[in-house]
Amino acid sequence: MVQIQRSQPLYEQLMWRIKSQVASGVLNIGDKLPSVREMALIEGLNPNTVAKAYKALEQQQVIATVAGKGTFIRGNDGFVTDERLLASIRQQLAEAVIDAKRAAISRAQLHQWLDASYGEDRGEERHGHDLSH
Amino acid sequence: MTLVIENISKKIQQQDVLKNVSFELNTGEIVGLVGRNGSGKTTLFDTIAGELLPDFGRIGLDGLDYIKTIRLHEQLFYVDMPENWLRYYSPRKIKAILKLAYPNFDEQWYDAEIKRFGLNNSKRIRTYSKGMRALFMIIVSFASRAQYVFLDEPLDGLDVLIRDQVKQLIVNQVTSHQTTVLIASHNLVDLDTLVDRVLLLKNHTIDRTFAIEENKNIRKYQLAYSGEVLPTFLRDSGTIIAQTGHVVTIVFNDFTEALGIKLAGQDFKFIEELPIGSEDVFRASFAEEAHVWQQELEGTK
Repeated sequence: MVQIQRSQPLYEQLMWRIKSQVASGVLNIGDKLPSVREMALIEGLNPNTVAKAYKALEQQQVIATVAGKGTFIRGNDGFVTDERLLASIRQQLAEAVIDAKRAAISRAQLHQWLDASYGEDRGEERHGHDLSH
Repeated sequence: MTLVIENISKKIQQQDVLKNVSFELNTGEIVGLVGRNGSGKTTLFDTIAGELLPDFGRIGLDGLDYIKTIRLHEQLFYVDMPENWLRYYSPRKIKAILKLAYPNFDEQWYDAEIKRFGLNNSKRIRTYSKGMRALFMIIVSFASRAQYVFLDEPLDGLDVLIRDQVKQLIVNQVTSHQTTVLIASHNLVDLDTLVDRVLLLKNHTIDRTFAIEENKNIRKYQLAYSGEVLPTFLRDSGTIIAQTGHVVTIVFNDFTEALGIKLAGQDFKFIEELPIGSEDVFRASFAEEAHVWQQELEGTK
């Protein structure tokens, strides 16, 4: 699994861990996440930090909270509506491409890396994410 | 349901122990009460629980006066630590007594937990080891099914494994029963993974209330300075966590570009950014002086 190098706020690190677990199939749609307090204990974080991460993940529609039942991994409705998330992904990709050009890395090589990170796992099961929509 | 502490003052032998203490506790919250030894934490607990009478002030629950309204007393569980009546009884006996005082006493859960942790049901609590006593205190407190549970130094002097079990128990119970918990501790960092906010008891009153908030500008560095003495701007703008010789571990609570430029200067032989831990964020949420105590405490251990 790729490790994030940048020094990120703790809640973003937690968000990223959960997202990558969803992407790699460790967590599946409908799986229940530990409660905020349980997660705080497990991850060694303050409950406020976990709550912040959960709230942001909810906004990005990665998870959903059902009152009285708990927090669950959400199904993907086919396309993500969070414009900010889309913009941030595009931005990061653009940055990566600029760096790649400077390092004289070929387009083909980049494509290959992209495919590799996307994973052979369940790549085709996921509905095509058309980023250019 | 909110427990409202309003302007509590208490003198003991003409000495102010509490002066105008006010705060509120809301349903399902875990709140830390932090203060140095002798700052009045236990007196505050005793006063809220009605074991001591305040000279001044009021404790309100459901809009009623908690101390005067006997039927509300089953809504709060607290026993003095470490000396208390429980020590002289066995868990079986304690259950029989508490069932009278707490009509919602959760017998089934109590018995199951006693069994799960292998606590001897017919031995007096005083014969228990420190760790077992700590676990028992948590079990008995939550078994009361009181809405408010006060715990006085529940993690003090416990090894890591018991500490985790105690924390786990608290979290599970609060999650499933929405209990409101007030935890007194002289150790800030112990509370990090548990509490929603912290009340700081100082100079006989609640000095500050902290919610642990993540500030994006917190940065942690390890660096080695080249001169004879520590560059003064470090102490002014950051909290030094550790220092061995010229090597310093420092947390900047509000990192600025100007600081970054200074750090890149010739004053330093070596500099490396370290990942921020929850403890760092927690510490950064407190005033400088709170950190000073922590160091004093660590120094005296």
